[in-house]
Amino acid sequence: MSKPKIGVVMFDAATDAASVIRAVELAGGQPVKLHPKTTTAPDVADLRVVILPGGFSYGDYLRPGALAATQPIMSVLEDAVKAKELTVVGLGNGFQVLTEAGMLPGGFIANTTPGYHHAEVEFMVENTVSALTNAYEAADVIRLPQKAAFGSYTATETELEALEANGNVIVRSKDSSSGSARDIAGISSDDGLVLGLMANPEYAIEEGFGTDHPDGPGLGVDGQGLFISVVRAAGATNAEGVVGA
Amino acid sequence: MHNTQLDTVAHAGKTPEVEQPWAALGLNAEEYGRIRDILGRRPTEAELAMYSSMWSEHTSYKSSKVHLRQFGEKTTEEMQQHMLVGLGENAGVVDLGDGWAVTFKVESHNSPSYLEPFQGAATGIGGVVRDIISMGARPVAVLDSLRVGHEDHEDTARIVKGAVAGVGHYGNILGVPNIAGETAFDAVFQGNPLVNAGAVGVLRHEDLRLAQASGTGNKIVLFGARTGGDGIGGAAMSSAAFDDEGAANTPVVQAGDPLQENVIIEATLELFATSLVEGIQDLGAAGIACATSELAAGGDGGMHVELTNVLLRDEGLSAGDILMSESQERMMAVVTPENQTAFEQIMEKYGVEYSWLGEVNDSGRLTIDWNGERIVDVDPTTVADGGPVYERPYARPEWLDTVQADTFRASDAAASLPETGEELKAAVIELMASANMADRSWLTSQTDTSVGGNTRQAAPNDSGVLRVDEETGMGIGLAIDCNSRYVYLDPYVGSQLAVAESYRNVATSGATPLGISDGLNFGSPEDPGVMWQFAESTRGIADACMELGIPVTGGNVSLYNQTVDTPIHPTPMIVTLGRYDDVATAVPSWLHPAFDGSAIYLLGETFDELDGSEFAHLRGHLGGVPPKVNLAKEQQLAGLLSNASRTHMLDAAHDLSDGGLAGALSDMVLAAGVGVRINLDYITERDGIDAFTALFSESQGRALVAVPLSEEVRFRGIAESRNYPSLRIGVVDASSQALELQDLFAITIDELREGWATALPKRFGN
Repeated sequence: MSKPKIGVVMFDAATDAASVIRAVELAGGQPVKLHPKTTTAPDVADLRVVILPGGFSYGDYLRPGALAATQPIMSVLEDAVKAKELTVVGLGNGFQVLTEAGMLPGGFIANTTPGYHHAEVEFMVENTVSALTNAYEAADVIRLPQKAAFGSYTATETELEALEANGNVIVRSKDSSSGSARDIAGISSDDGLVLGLMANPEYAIEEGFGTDHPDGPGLGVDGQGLFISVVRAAGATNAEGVVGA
Repeated sequence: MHNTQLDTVAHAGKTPEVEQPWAALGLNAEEYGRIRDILGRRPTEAELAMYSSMWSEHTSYKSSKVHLRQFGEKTTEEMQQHMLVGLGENAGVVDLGDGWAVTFKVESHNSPSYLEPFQGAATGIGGVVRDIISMGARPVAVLDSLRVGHEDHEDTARIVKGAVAGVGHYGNILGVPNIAGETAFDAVFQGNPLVNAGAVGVLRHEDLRLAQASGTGNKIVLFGARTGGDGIGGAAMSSAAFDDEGAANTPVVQAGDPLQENVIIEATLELFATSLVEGIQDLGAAGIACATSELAAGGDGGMHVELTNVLLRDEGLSAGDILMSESQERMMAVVTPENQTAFEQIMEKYGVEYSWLGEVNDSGRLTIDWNGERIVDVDPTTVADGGPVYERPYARPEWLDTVQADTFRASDAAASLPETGEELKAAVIELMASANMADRSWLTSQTDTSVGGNTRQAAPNDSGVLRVDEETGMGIGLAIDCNSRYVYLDPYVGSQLAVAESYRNVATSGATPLGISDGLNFGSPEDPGVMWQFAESTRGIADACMELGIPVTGGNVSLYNQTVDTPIHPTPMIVTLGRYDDVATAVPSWLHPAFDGSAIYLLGETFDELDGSEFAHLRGHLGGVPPKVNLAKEQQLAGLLSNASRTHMLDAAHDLSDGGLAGALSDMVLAAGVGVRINLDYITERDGIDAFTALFSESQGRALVAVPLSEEVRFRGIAESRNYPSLRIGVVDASSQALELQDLFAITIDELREGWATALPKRFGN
């Protein structure tokens, strides 16, 4: 069986792209690099899932994600999502790109403690059917690195209520250190085809290069499940099939 | 410099009497006369700008050269066996085996970082990373070493906050992890902080590139950012001491654009992969003047440049300004005519601007035209390599006798030393809450340590550890160290101690040291006392490397670090590079809860050595002589540690340096909140010292290791067979939540953490 192909958009200074590519490979997928200037659908036509990796796309200039959101490929992705042909996943800065592009509700503001910080954070998985979290069990607690200067999720009260009511909060922080509204870390669109997670699971996939773990430093690989989920979604007969709506 | 008439070569030949601003450009009368002799006429404005930049201390190493020669002379064939490229290039290149090589370098960015800490530090990272790319390598890690003023001085927050944020901002957007660094506070750096940035790159042997312009007819291309008016005269500024006002009088700090550099890295690596460049040079100090003269001097010797072709940010720049501009994120390359189209396609693919400036020829001259008129016509070797070399007078300063005679034990500071358990406990808490010993996470959390996914270890470990080969796990370890107080007390011994500490840190994490690079920060070479410190320091480093059998692969010199007549403490920062067959054998420097029950051993002996120590610093004392250095012992210890880690005998290992045993134990306990039970009696009885000395002395050649019970027999065996002093002083007790020194005191981890964790955030925010 051929490996499911997964697109990875190579925005300038999407510094986590190389690690996302490694994570996709380790999870059994075949990463396909996509140029952000792509304007034609054929490049994404045979893909079921595209990841917007994290990092500092376009240097975080203007606002994190703002410049990436205006790249030509974004309208190609949006059209494919509207046609129910594609799932788009944003990790870290990639989530910021999705809110800036209006593909997910809400937006991001500066950390409670200003400036860039990296830390390991514990999250609770709240949705086990999404394209990003189908490999987990309900209430699984996962430890992932989080790197951001603007990592606090915010949205209007109406948007937040809608996210909760529709089960679209897929991952929540265990504590309030991120300053995010309702400790939201990961969300899904209503149709389950657009997903964002403010974390960097691509740095928790290899023993020795992962997060802290009771058995020893760097042994935590809780991020694997997110990529396994994505590869499963890409391998499913159609994108909607894996979103247990 | 903005005359209405263009100062052409022809005009200069006809107007020998024109007064020229050579002194303002940092040249002395003799140097100016020498330029006139070389040219047989007065230099044009553009030529004067080139010579003054290239002959500045910062670029030409005119005062330091005679001493740096030792690094090439005090070496053996065996030491050079891993060197692919040695001293003199942008950075040394060391063979890692299996076709892999690594290049690393540290550079000072001290004066810009005082004026504008954020941009100064940011562009420091940018510049050293471009040096690494110029060697054909992919940058895989950065590191930084900071020396700032007293932690409670009103100006210190400006410097440390700006510099740390700048290092983080630039490195983060480049996508290069920051894996090692150190920061120390001392009033002596108040008006002249040190910001040294380092970078590491890896490459395949066949990708190695050097700064050479060879092949008549080949094209010269400038690519990357446009040239603006920033940083003009930066090289000359770096070669002058700050005056009473605390700042030079021109806006000479460049602004960095890390997004541009990120794109340039990818574009340049693709140029290498497709073999489209014959030679390459980054633009740093003295910009185009430096790059053209160095490329030409390194190649066939001739080059012609049309300066009018340079893409500008500011159309009002004069020819001299364009030559001297230190605008960041620019590279210059040599491309064959056949490859021009392919080169342009790559630039367009990445959206990088470029302009063809000229071509290589065999004239032996570097000629530069501006609007059709010749403004430079020089022999490039006289610019790049023909600068003056000074044998500056040096002499041991008289004050040193007084300083060395003022030992800590005989001083007022030692009138009442902690003796009882309660007093010792208070002293440990105070030590760990001091700015130099406190938790570094306020600094290190601002930099991305994991990007790339190959970081095995970063702060708070003794050294950064990075995987190079994903197939085999082969990788590198890096540490940067220098105790400036030791160097001040005895520059020869102190510099050897800096080498020893850096070397020991790399070995403690389990790597085999392969070589060092240095960043030499000193005061004014015109002061014979400073020059003596420099001479002694370089002699110490060269001798230490000879004895340890590892080469000096490259380095950087920064002089004139002083405020009025007060020089900084001499600070030769030493980066040691080590190699792992497999980074999976790297050992952390701290205790993890999983290490519960492991035995703690102290390797090495403790003597009464408190002069220059962190404890003496805490008591406001600096005098006496630094700890004794024993490089044969260091080599033995390194062999023991790398052998024990390679064969999986160690859970953790931490070297003893600043703060001695008290500092090392506290570091190990605090990182993850894992307690230990220690009995100092073994040390005090064997070494004939008291508990205070056992805790705070900074004797060298020591390390703490945590050994799982299952490995103790094997571990004792190798320590004995290698005849290295080893004492089992305690055990890891994860549940105790305390640093317990039996029969003396117990400090709960919360009590110890309080001051340690808050010392930096409470001063500098967050």
